[in-house]
Amino acid sequence: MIRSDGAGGRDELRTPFVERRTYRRRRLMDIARIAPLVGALLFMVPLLWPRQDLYPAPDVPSGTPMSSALVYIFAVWIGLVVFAVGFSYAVRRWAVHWTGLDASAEVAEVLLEPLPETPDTPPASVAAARDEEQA
Amino acid sequence: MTSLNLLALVSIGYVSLLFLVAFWADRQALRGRSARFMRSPLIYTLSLSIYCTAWTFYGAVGYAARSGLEYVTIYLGPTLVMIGWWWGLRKLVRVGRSQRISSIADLLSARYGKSNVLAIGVTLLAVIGVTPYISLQLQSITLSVAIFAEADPARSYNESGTVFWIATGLACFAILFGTRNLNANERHHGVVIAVALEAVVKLVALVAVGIFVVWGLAGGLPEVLARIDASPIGRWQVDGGRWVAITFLAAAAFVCLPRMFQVMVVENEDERHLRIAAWAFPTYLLLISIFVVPIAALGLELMPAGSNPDLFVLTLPLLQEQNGLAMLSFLGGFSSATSMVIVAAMSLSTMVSNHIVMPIWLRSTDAFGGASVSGDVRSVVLFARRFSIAAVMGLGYAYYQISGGGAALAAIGLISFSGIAQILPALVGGLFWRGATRAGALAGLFFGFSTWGYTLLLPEVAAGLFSPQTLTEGPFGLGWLRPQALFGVEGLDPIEHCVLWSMTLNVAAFCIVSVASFPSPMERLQGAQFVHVFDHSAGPGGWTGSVAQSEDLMIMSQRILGPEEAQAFFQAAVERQGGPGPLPEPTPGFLEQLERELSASIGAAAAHAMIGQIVSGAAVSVEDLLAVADESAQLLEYSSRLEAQSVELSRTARQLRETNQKLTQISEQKDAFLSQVSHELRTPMTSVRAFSEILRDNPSLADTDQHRYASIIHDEALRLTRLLNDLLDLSVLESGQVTLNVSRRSLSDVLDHAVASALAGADRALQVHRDHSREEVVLETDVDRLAQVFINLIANAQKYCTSDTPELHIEVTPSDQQITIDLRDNGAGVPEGFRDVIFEKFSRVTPERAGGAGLGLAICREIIRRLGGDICYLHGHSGAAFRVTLPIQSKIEEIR
Repeated sequence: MIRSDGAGGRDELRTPFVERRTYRRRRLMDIARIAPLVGALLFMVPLLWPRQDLYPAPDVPSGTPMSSALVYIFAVWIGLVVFAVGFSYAVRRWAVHWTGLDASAEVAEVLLEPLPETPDTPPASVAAARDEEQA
Repeated sequence: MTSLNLLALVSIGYVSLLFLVAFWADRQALRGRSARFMRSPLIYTLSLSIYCTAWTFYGAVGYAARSGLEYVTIYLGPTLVMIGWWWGLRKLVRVGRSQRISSIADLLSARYGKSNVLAIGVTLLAVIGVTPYISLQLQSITLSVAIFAEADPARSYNESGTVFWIATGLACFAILFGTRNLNANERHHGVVIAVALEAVVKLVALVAVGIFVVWGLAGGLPEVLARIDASPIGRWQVDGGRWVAITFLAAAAFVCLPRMFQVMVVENEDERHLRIAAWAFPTYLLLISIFVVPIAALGLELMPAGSNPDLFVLTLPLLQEQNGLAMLSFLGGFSSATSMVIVAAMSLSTMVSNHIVMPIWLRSTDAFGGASVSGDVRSVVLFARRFSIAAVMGLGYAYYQISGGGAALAAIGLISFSGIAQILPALVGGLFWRGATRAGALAGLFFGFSTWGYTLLLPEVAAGLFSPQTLTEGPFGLGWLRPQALFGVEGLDPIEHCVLWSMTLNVAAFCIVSVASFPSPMERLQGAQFVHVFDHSAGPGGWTGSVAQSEDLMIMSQRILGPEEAQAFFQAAVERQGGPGPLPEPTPGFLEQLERELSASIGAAAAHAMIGQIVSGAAVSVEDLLAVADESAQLLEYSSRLEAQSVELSRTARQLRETNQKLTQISEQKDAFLSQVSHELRTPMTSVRAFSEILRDNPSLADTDQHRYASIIHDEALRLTRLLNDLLDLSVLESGQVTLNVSRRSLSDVLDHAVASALAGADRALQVHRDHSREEVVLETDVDRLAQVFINLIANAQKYCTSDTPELHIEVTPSDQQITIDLRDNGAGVPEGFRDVIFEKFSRVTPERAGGAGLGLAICREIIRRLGGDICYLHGHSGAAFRVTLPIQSKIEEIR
């Protein structure tokens, strides 16, 4: 379904054996796919908890108290946020092709190979032209 | 108590602050100098918070007071979506950026082969789904103002007037900052910054009220938990179906809502911001919702019975005489409502103007034959956007007035969510399934949307449309068509029921029709581009930093325009802008000029694609490629025409060159000929002059000498005459003006005559051997000329044969069409090196023995060629041998 998730390099090999770093990154992406499902399942756990009786006995509170549900839901929520923070740093560490600033430079390479006949950089040449004009 | 006037003052002050911030941000962005934080992940995360509208701010507490913890599902859905950002949102954002998508309708239209029908469908769906939502925001502001009005002793409060002015003000804000200019990226920095500021305000407000409630009213965390458990919502009681359904709806709406799509995809500066937003936004949602239950529980406990739980956030601080906190809380609610309305109106207007107004306008101008000038269209687009914003806001206002603002806030929100969620199957299918087709998407949307309208929207919102009988027994007594118990599924909550059926029918129709239909080529191309976007598009980075852009533009322009022209152009732009840097800022005006400049060289489509690639980092879309291909095809055709012309020219030139060469050659030949002729004429003339001078100057010459000299002069004169005759003959023959007297005669006779003439008066005998039997061939030709040739050849043999007993063999070989006559003598023959030139004029093998001028054989060849035959020297014989070939039936007509 997902041929490439854009985290690898442009010409990365698609072989059964990849270097450790690439392998780690791919397993990381597997975790990223599973995480929302796990989160959804955890959020659904309270549905299995005992509910309030239809005919409650007087003065005996039945079912799960609201406070426990509240604590559980927000604990899972905080857990997910912590996971997201961790994943964010893992992405920064492992998916360098995606986070690296050289991605834009790659584009520039493709579209704009430097002119072979003009070695000086454009801003310098513009500045030079301007200096000449002022002189 | 806070007076209404103070409230109005604070609100106006707050709105002015928003205006100022938005104005400042827009200005900075226009100058290309947007501050670093304006492009930061923080701003992106905060702008995402328009998900939390007044429905969240006020409604969540009311929701919690009514149904316990169920409200939290509204935030769990988006949290799960954000957690799965890596394979979900990231792809969406990448597609949006690389395809330069301007709205969710645009995205679906682009994915399914630029289908405008689909775009119109999604736009209408969005307008229908979002309009109640907008009126909900207006209602919330009105309600909150009413709370203050009730408390104000000097009340002069007109509800509908307030709503009208609020709607007008919000429309003005959206028009001012949402349609200030047409940006290629559809980004609105001013609006985004204002939304981010409002996000901070609403978070601070809600958290402040929460802290006040937990630590101020309840007295700490354990106490508040105890009081929650003791309250009417103290037990865990949620409907499992609703829990799952609403979580799903919220997740779907988070992606599909036009305003969310606007801030999440269209306004996205850099795909990598998602990495931060993935945990920052869930944190924001968590903070927003963590105090909701305490506020609800305390509100239920402390507020008088019958008070609206939707407004606990406001009424609780007011009840406790916390006017400052109440004011902050009001501003928080105001912020939530205004930011949502502004962005929603803006995104809807983009969709309405791009997919409904503009196509109609363009078609109508086409009908009038008007050419669409770019500046012209720009102003029309801007007008369409402004008009659409006003219209959307008007619709929201009208809906508010009609509905009377009675229903609970959360109900409208959920109805709106489930309508918008109908887009989800087409969206997700479009991103992950290449087999999804336009027909499938249309079918899915149609079924999902109509099921939603039938089962939820009409019964809940426009209840008057259905009679109670229809609701309980179904239309026309068809029980299985009951709007809230479709196909006999009873006992479900309306939302659950609607989600179940609309999504089932939607997905089923989408999949079945997609599989059954066949996509157009454009759809298939776009499908591949979308599904494999990470293979097709460039990296995630935004082209932030204007200087980098200008440099890249400069490099590109240099390659296309040439260094001098490009530098002059950029220099002029710098002077126009008056900026300090060596390079101009890439303002829209400058980019437009540059594009025009480049399009002169490489075509409009290619120029647009290249500039788009650099400025927005967007990948070149299929449409661009098609346009570029069109242009290249035109260029190719033109160049192939040029090529054909140039080939023709070079052919003509070659012909001219050849002709010229020939002419030069002929001229040289003529010169050579003239010099030879004059040389040949001079020799006899010299002797004539010399001997005539002797005769004139020596009258005492002996008679014998006189006679001898006179006869020499006579001989030389004869030779001259002969030479001139030959020359004349040759020139007549060569010029083709000769008239041939064709007659029939036997070859034998011709040869007899030739031998007799040639050997008459010869000083030495030449033995001629002939086979008369083979010569009895009747020829039809110019007999005299032929005889002339034979005479010449026999005379040559007689003259040049070196043998002591000269002999000449004449052999005739007749065949069907032609006759061959060989003349061989027994002399030494022509020396090897001269054999090629003996037929040339003035060529003599042995000049010292020359009797003639060397024209004889040349004349022979000309004559024979005139007669349709050929003459050549025969190699491989000891003596000189010539072969004359003649046609038996002379083709005089052709010869001439």
